[in-house]
Amino acid sequence: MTITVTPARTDRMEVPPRSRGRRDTTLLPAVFFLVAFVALYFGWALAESYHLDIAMTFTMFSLLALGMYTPLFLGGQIDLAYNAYLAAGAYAVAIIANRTDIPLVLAIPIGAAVAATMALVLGLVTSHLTGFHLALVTLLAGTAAYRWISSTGAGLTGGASGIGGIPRLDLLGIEFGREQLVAAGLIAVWLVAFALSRFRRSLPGLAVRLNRASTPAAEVSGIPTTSIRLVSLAMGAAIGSLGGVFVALMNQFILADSYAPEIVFLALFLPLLGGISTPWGAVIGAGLLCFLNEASAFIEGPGPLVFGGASLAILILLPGGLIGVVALGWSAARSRMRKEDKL
Amino acid sequence: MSALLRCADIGKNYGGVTALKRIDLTVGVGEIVGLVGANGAGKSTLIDIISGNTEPSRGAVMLRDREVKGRPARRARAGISRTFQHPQISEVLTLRENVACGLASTRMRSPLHVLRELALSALIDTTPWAEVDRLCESIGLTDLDRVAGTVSFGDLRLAEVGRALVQQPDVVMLDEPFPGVDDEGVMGVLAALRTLRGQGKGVLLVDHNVDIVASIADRLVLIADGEVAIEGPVDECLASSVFRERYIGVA
Repeated sequence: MTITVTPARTDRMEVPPRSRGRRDTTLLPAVFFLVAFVALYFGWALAESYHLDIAMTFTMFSLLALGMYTPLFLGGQIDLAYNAYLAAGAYAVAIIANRTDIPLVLAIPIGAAVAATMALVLGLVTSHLTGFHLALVTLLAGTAAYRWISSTGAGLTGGASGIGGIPRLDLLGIEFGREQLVAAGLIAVWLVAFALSRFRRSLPGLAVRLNRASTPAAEVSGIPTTSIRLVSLAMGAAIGSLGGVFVALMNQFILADSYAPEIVFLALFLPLLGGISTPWGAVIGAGLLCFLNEASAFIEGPGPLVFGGASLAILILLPGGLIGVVALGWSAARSRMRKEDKL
Repeated sequence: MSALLRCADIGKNYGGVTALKRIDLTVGVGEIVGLVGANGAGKSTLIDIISGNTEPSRGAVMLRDREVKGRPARRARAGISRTFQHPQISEVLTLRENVACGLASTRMRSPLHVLRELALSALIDTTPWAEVDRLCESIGLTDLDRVAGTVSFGDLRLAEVGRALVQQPDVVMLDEPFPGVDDEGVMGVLAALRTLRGQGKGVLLVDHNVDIVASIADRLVLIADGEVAIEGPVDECLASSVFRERYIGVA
């Protein structure tokens, strides 16, 4: 028998065109949302006191949904204890303001650290769980946290009646009233969404995403899969806690019922409504939630039903979310322009 | 030639089934070893054991005379990279991003490195994309902005090869990298392997296409029935009756 060694053909080889490199696609949406936020704040939020409350609700849901974005939509880890992380931020503000001499501004990092620690512990305990089981256990953890804060009476958390008497935040001689807090909240949302859009395309972000698709592939690429999983859980929880911080500072009181597990299910839908291809989708989803909530009040319909129906319609008809529609439109416009150029 | 990678007395049992009886194998500095064998011979199991994806029932894997243990990520950071028989790729990432994931082995070596990358990620893009692009071009992988879920099977394989090579490993193990890959891709991968050889790296190449393996390997190792049936210089192996009998089935 003769084994013939046949080298691959070389006559068809061509030098491949040099790659154009990787385009930075994070700047355009960031500029768009910066303009939108400035317009929203000066053109609408400052017009009425009631609008400030809606803007703060938008801020809270945006931060909650942005917190979920990395572990859930990039990493595929379902964590339903976000009501607990939100509460960690809010209770950090209330407890520090009422029971300690610590400067109130430190409630922000302390709340974030508490939430991140809770997520780390939960992540370690559930490290061998996935899918349905992981969802159930984290939901149970969120429920347990809610039961605990609402039932400790006059102890640390103030029980069901919560904690009041939260003073205005004073930072470098500037008192943060409602207008300033809303401005700070919108800046926080913008910064977090922009940072996450950069993270998503960075090496750690790619590591989280590859780990979701194939853990063996992530492992052989040298990605520390356990560390990256825990980091994304902690990061998401810390971001979620910021929402609680802002709401507590805005309202100057907190109630345990605001941190019931139901809030998680609402926030869970927001990135899907906006579109999960970018963290800005979570922001769009939060905006849609606030808009539909207000619109349903005008049409005197049952708000949750209107929101539920609209959400269902978007999820069925627009699987890429609202951003997916924009992307499709942009793609169609570009191909039409190219055709016209050729003609 | 000094041994870069050494598998000593590797055995693997799955319950009552013996996948590998006893394997002793070395890959020298600047050596390309072709690992061949029929389906089910145990080639992929051996690669899984070396990369840490499967625990051996006995034996040890040594890299530069030091035993390597632990999870695949740890071994990747130690200098062992690999591809899979069935490409393991994220279909939502672009080809460029899939390849770049291999940079984690050098840039995310410890939790501190992970935190540094994380902190930097929001501010500046420190990923050496030009390096990734150059490597992809060298193996014939182009149009890197394509999402992996939309490309041919051959390009998926090339992306996985790229991810293994961008790790700058001491030893790279390619598990059937050529099926579905066009001529240009095959030539590109072979050229990249020659470069690795020139750099003193080791290569363990598994493929059913003996022609291609023989065209580049310095040595062939035939695995049959869970053990090394024959090993040696390519020409001697191909001329051996044992090789023909145990691999091709023709005496």
